[in-house]
Amino acid sequence: MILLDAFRIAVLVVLAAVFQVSAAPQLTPTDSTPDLVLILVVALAVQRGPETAAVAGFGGGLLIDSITGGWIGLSSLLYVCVGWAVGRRLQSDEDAMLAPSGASPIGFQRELAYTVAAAIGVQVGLAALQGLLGEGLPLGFTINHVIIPAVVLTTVFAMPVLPLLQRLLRSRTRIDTARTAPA
Amino acid sequence: MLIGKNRLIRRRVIIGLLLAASLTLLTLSFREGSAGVTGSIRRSTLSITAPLSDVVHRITQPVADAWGWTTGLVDARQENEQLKKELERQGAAGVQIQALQQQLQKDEQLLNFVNSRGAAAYDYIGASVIAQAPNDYNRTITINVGSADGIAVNDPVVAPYGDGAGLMGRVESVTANAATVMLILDQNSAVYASIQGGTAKGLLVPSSGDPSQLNMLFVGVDESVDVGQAVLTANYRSNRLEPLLPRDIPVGKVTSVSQSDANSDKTIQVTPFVDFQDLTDVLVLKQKGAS
Repeated sequence: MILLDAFRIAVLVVLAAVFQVSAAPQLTPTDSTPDLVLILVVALAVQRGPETAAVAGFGGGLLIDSITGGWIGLSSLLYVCVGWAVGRRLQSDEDAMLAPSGASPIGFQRELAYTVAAAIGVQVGLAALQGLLGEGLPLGFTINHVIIPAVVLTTVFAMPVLPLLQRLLRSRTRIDTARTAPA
Repeated sequence: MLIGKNRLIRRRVIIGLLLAASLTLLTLSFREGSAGVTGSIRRSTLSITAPLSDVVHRITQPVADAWGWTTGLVDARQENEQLKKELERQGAAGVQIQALQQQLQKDEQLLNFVNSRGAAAYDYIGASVIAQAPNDYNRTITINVGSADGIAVNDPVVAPYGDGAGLMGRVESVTANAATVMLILDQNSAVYASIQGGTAKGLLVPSSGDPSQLNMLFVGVDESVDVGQAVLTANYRSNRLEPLLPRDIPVGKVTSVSQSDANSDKTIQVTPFVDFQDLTDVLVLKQKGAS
């Protein structure tokens, strides 16, 4: 059962990464694309906890960097941080603890809010790291042509994708919420 | 407590290992470039995912065409009621026809380029774009041909524009069935170029202010350059320009020329001919006789 679940998540990671670099550029009017891997990482952090989200983020980032010829490890680093941060934030969330199996432990709106916050975090982190690596772009261009379009597109795509992921990841509740709190 | 102490430790170890692995890969990637371990990871991943990317690209292409047709329909409504009705009547067939017309136009442009005098010294390999970098930091695309088709690192790649084709980049890395192309807008790109109809030559690099534009560097103040002149590739090797690109491939046109007293060079801005937001079909050029 665990292996099947891991396989299902691995397939989702590969599909998200490939769609992000192959399909999304055709469907968006800007150079930026929606961050589908990020949406998946946030969904996994909510549904499965930070470890699974971080591992998936690491794999997804590795795929994207490899396919597009970017710095290998850069996207992985950011996605691992997102998986950990969202999962960690939810760790103390009482709503998550009480979530029934199959439902989003925190509700769609908050999951979307986490996605938007994570998208901003990843884009700002990416801009900062690219700057440190000597490949930064002018600040105004970065904000107007990279960060804002990417965050907006990610938010728009997250609206239908998050409920879909909720259904696909339905079989198990978050690992760290499987143990209920003592009465 | 929600989670046990052991679980907390395990979580920290996993996250720590993943962060360490990411940083290690990033360091190796920075130091080794496309060689070494990270180069192997990149080539292996690209080989495995290229067929899937190709399939996904082919599946979503009709959706993109339909989207283009729909937006075209909206414009037609505003401009011409009769055209709108005709397009609506055509329905799905209209999408297909328009997509085929666009494809035909691009093929004709590439064919014109192949038949042009400048391209006579080159063989060419047609390719489709199957993946694109998700942001402006690294401007690369992935094409569906590789070393099995005769593609090699540093091969120049052109894309349709006008009634021919313009330079869009060069092959950066290659696997058996796919290749990564660095666009001329990438920050690591540098192209030695000349002004058509003049003697000025210089190095084309992405503009630091607007990365969708190019700047032509090292053009002396005594050189005559006018707005609107075409910029072509030049046959010269410099320290920054490793690959020797074929000469006379159109790159862009001069959009502004300025010079200051403090600078011994002109400041020349060049707008690329190729539309980098609409890259679907490209040609990889091979010097005739080259293996």
